[in-house]
Amino acid sequence: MKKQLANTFAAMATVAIGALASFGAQAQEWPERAITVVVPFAAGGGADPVARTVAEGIQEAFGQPVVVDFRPGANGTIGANIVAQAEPDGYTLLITSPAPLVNVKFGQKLPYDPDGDLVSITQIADAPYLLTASGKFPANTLQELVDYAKAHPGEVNAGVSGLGGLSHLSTVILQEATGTKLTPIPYDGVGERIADLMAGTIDISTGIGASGFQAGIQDGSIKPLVVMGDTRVPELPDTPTVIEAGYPNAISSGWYMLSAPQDFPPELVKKLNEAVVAYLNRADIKDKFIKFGNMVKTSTPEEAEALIQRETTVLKDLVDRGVFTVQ
Amino acid sequence: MAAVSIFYDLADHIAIGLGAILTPANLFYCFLGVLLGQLVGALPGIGVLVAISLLFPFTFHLEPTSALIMLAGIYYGTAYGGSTASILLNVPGQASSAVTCLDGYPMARQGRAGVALFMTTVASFVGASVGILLMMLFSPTIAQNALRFGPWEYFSLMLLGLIAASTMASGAPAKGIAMVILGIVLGLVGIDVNSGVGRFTFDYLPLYDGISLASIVMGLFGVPEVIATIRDVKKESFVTRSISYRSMVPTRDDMSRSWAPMLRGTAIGSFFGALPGAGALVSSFMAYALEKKVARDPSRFGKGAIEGIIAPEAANNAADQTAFIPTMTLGIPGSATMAIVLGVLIIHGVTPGPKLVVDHPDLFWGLVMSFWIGNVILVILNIPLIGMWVKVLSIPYHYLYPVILVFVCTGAFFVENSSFDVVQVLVFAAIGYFMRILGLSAAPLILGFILGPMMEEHLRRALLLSRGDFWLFLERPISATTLALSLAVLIWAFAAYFRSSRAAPKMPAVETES
Repeated sequence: MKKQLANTFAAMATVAIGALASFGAQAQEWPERAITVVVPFAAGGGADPVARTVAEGIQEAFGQPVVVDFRPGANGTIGANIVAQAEPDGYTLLITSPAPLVNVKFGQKLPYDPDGDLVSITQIADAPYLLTASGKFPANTLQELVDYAKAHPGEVNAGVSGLGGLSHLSTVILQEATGTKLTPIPYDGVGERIADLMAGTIDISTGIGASGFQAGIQDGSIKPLVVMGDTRVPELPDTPTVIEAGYPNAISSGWYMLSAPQDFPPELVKKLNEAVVAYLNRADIKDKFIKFGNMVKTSTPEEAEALIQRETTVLKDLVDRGVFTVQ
Repeated sequence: MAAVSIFYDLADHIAIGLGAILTPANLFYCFLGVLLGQLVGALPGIGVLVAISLLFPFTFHLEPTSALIMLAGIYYGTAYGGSTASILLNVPGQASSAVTCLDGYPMARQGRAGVALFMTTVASFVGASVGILLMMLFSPTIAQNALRFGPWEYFSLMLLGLIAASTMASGAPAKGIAMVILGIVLGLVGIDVNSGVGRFTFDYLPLYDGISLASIVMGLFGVPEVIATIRDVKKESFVTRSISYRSMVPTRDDMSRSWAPMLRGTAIGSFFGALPGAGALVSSFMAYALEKKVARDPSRFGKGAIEGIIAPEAANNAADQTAFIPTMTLGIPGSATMAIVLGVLIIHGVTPGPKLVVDHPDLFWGLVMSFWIGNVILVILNIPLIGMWVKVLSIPYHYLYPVILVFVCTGAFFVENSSFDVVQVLVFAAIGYFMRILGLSAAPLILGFILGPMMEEHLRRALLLSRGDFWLFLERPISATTLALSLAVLIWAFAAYFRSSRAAPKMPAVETES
C-alpha cells in the first residue's frame, strides 16, 4: 500500500516535471526539434503533394525538419484521432480534407469530437466538386439535367464513392438545391466509377477537381456540366459555376485544412498561420497547386473554424431531415 | 495494306520510344526501378504499393518520362521478384505470388528450386512481352472494349472465377468450399460501400477499412511455414542444399509441359489486367485454377507441378503490363498503384487519355520501350541471381526464419503505418497454423477474401442500376456468355466427380498435404 502510494506520487511528479519541461520549452523557442505533420490518407493520394508542399513551407519558415506521416484508414478518422489525442506542443499537426473534420457518422462512434478536439490553423486549398455527365446522357448543362431529372424522377443514376461519404454528400446537396431526385450508385474505387460513366452505365457523377475525369472530357465520353464552387477552375475555363448556372446553393467543395490538437497555444496558431499563409500565396506555390488539381485558398484561423462550422451545420441539417441518409 | 501500315507506324513508334529512353539518365532510372522492384518483390512483406508511394515524392523533381519509367519498373519488377520467396521459402513476396507457393515450394523441396526459378523467369518474360505487344498494337481497341464491362459483366466473371477456383484446394472439396466461405466472411469486415454501415467492426476504427490483404496473405502463407519448419527443424532438410547451374536447366519434360500453360496464363493475365476492376491478383488465381482444370492428372497439383507455377507467373506479369492500357489511354486506374502512376502524370501536367499518345508520343512510346528494356534487364538480373537465391536455402533456419519474420512484420506495418496490421499477421498466423494441422488450404480462403466483396459490390450495384431486375444479367451478351460458361464448368465438375467416384468406388481419397 505504501509502495503503491509512493509510486503514484512518483508518477505524478514525473507528469508535473514533464509538463513544466514542455512548458519551459515552449516558452523558450519553438520549434527546437522536428515537427510531424499527420496526413490521414495514403501516401501517393490527392493529399500527398498538398501536404508535402505545406511541410516544405513550414520547414523553410522555422528551420526545423518537417516529417509527413501518412496514417490512412477509416476515411481519415484514424489519422485525425492521432492528432486529436496528441500533445498540443506544436510538434504534431494535421493536414486533411474535410472527411474527418466535417463528420456526422451514422451510428458509429468517433473516438474524438471533430468539433472540439481539433483547432484550425488555416485553410490550405479549395477544390470544388465538378459535376459531370456521361457523353451518352442527353443533358449538356446543369439546367438540362434538372429538367430531365424532374421529368424522370429517381431515374438518373449518380455515381458516388461510398454511401455517406463526401461525394455522396455533394450529390445530395445538388438534389436539395435543384429540387430533383437522383439515385446514388456507390462505388469503392474511382476507376470503375469513371469507366461506368464513360460507358454510360451511370448518368452523372461528382468528383473533386477535373483530374479524374480529364481523359473522358477530352474525348467527349464525359461532359463537364458545372463547377460546384464560386470560381471557375483553370483546367475547364468554359465550364460555368453553379452560381452562374443559377443554383447558388449547390456549392460543394473538398478543401484542405491545417489543424492542430485542442488547447494549442494561440501564439503558435498565429505563428503557423502567418508563415503558411505567406508561403502558400507565393506565385510559384500557387502554380504548383493548380497542377495538383486544386487552388490555394488561405484564411484566418477564425475563418477556417467558421468554414467547418458552416459545413457541419449543413450536413447535420441534411441528416436530421432524413435527406442525407445511408439506408 | 493496312497491316503493312500498322507495322510501318510501329517502326516509327519504336524509333520515337527508343529515342526517348536511350539516354543515360532514363536507362539509369529504368535499371534502378526494376532493381528496386525485383528486391521489393523478393522480400516477403514489403509490397509494390509501399515501394511506389515511398518513391512518389522523388518523382516531383524528375522529368515525367523518367519518373514514369522508374515507377513502372518497380511495378513490373516486383512481379518477377514476387515468385522467388514463394518458391524458396513458401512465403509469398507479393499477394499475387501466393498461388506460386502451392507448387513452387514443393518443387524446391524436391531439389528443383533452380528449375522453378528459371522457368518462372521465362514465363514472366513471355507474359510481360505479350502484354507489351498488346499495349503497342491494340491499346485503344482494348481500352474501348474494357468499357463494355459493367457491373453485370464483372459479377458474372467473378462468379465464373469462384466456381472454377473452388477446385483449387487439394483434398476434400468440402474443405475447399468451407475455406472460400470463410474467406468471403473475412472479406466482409469493414464499412459496407453500399450502405455506409460497418460490418464486424466492433466500433474499432482500424477495422473500418477491413482486414489488410497483405496481413492475411503473410499470416496464412508465410508464418505457419516458419512455425512448422522450426518444429521439424531437426528431422528434415532439403534434398539439395547446394545448387549447380546444371540443376537449373529444365528437363525436356519440363519444357514440353510449360509452353501451353505459359500461353494460357498470358491470355488470362492480359485479359484481367486490361479490366480496371480486376488485376494481377485475380488473374494469377484464375490461371492456376484453369491449369488444374485442363490438366490430364490434376492430382499432381500441389505437389510440384510445373504448370502450377508457370501459368500464374505468366498471368501476373502479363496483367501488370496490360494494366497500363486503361490507365494510359482512358485515365482509369485499375488499382491503387496505378492511381499513383496517374498522379505522377497529372502533377507533371500530362493528362492521361486518348490524346496522350498524340500529345506526348515520346512519353508514351518511351514508357513502352522502357518496358522491353526493363524486362530484358530483369531476365539478365534474374538468371545469375538464381544461384544466389537458392543459396539462401543453405542458411541455417535459426538465422533465416527470424529474419523472414522481421520482414513480414515490417512489410505488414508499412502498408498503412499501422501496428494493428502486425497484430493481424499474428492472428492469421495462428489461424493459418491450425489450418495447416487440419489440412485446410489457404489459397481458396484468399480467393474468397478477394472475390467475395467484389462480387457483392458488383451484384448490388447491378441490381441498383437495373432497379432490382435480374434479367439484365442474361440480356447483356458478355454477362450471359460468362454465366453459361460458369454453368458448364459446374456441370463438368459434377460429371467428373460422379465419373471418378463410380470408377474407383473403393479407393479412399489419399491426402498428401505436406
